[in-house]
Amino acid sequence: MSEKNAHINNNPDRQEIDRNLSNTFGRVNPFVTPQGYFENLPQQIMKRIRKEEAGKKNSGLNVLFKPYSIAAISLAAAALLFIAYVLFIPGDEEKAERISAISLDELLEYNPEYITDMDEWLLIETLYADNETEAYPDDYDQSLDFDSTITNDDILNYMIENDLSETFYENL
Amino acid sequence: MSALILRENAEQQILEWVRTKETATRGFRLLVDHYNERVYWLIRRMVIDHDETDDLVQETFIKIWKNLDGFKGDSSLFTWIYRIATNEALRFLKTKKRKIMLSLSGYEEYLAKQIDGDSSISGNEIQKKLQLAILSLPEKQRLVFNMKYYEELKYEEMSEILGTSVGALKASYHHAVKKIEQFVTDH
Repeated sequence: MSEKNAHINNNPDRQEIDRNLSNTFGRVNPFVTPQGYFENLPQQIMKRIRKEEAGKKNSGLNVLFKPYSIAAISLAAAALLFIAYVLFIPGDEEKAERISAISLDELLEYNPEYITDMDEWLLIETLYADNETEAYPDDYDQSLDFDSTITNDDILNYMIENDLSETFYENL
Repeated sequence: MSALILRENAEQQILEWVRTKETATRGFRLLVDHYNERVYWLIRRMVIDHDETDDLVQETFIKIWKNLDGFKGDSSLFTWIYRIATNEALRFLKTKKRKIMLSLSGYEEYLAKQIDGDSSISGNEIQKKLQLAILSLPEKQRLVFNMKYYEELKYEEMSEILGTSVGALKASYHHAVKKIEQFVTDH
């Protein structure tokens, strides 16, 4: 027993500690339950137990038919189809052609619900893996690329000429 | 017959039956019959709402059913059951607080409003005041108070259930009573 609590445990009135409370309030239970609740409660509990037990017995089979299992199986099947489609084509040239010929829409047809969660750019990169330049559209404008010859002075001059203050950019 | 057995040595009989495959269900039904009301009231005083209590009581008994094999008899069956029920109630309150994103005092206020306007409390204004005072206590102290004041458990039993020393429980109960008296004087 700690010294801190010694005064409480040695207090002769300890047993009577709640006498005032019980005199004022009694020990009445103020909460109520629906009529007949306790008569049905044991049955309800046993019903839940039986349900749990039945669920446990079927859990081995049920796991195959649960929505997430079906999703996983569908996704795996789609992936296998895709791999088989790619691997069993003879010749690099033809292989590249076939890969390029697969549109994103075609791929999504396998299982649109789950494949849409995948990174679209990862798919595009995979489709164009053997022909990287084709990843850019035909009308790609290279002039839009950043021009490394532009200096800070050029930028400042442009801003002065067009009456653009520094705060203009900060507020964008 | 079963009433007589329960009076004489209920726990022993329950354990014997639940540990035998053929009588396990019958033994568990006996356990449920014997403890359901006490478990209900222990939880109800903590979570206040009847429907939530009902759900927690069923969860508690499912846990008891699932873990009975692991009950070694180091403590009495009664204290073991109470410990599971207590943990369920505390876990529920913790989850509830987190879910409704309120501060500790905020959730107590929510419970207090339930007591104020709850038709499932039959008591008069004085009884409601006592319940509000009990709600003002920290959760574990509330548990200690309820176990002692309403359930009239022995400190030794409470010590087994809560894993707290008898001395600390006595101190906690003493302080709880003082706080409640103060609350009643102030309100």
